[in-house]
Amino acid sequence: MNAQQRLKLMREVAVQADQFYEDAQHFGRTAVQSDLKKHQLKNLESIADTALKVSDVLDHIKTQTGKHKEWRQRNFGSDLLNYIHHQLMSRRNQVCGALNIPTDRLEAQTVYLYLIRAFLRQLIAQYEYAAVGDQSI
Amino acid sequence: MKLTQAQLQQIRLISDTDLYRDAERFLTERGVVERSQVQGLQDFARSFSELEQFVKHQSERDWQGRKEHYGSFYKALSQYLQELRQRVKIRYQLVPEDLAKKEAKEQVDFFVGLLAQEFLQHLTSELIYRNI
Repeated sequence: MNAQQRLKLMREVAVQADQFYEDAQHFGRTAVQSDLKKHQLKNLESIADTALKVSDVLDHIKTQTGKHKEWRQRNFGSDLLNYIHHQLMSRRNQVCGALNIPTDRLEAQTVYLYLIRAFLRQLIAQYEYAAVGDQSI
Repeated sequence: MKLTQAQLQQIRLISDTDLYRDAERFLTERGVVERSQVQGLQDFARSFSELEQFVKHQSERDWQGRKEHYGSFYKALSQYLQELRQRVKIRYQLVPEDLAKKEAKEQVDFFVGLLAQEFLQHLTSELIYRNI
């Protein structure tokens, strides 16, 4: 992938990420209501930022959901898994469609990871905002 | 054996697609086992021949009571590992066809070991998720 193709890819990812707001807000609020700690979400973000496979992120969510009750409250972990599996995969397919990338290619995996990272960044921002609101009530 | 960048990328793709779904399907079809069983498998996965021997041994044990299905779990796992071996050679084409027999076998063992580790990682996460 050359620099121009990468730029196009990043632009398409950004277009999709612009539509995350309400979903990220929902997950951010749910995370606060589920008593998730900031470090738990930052840890997830860190794993996503360094992951070379989508399954590294999914496996982490599964493990945390199995081990910690706050990930299970209000179905936070399960819903996040489903969201990544369905909504973000659908957005990945849109990006790949726009750029003529077959979905079984490495570039499609990269797009998927970029979308997950963008979504988690927004989720954490919404979490932090909701957490402040929660404390002020 | 040193992997090329292309081989590493191919293994990551296979892990994200086929192996991830295989692990979910495997537990759905074969039932869950204690997490310690899979952690034991991961310990042996560093050497594929040892993993095969361990799975064979476990499949031949006389499992009783609530662990009665463990035998069929391990038999299915043994079959799955054989299927992975075939995939390495045919579907994924990770090993060049023009290698000598001994070298080809070593490379197949190496790659199937890597894929087995990926599969077992997904299997472990799925087991934990199902809250065993």
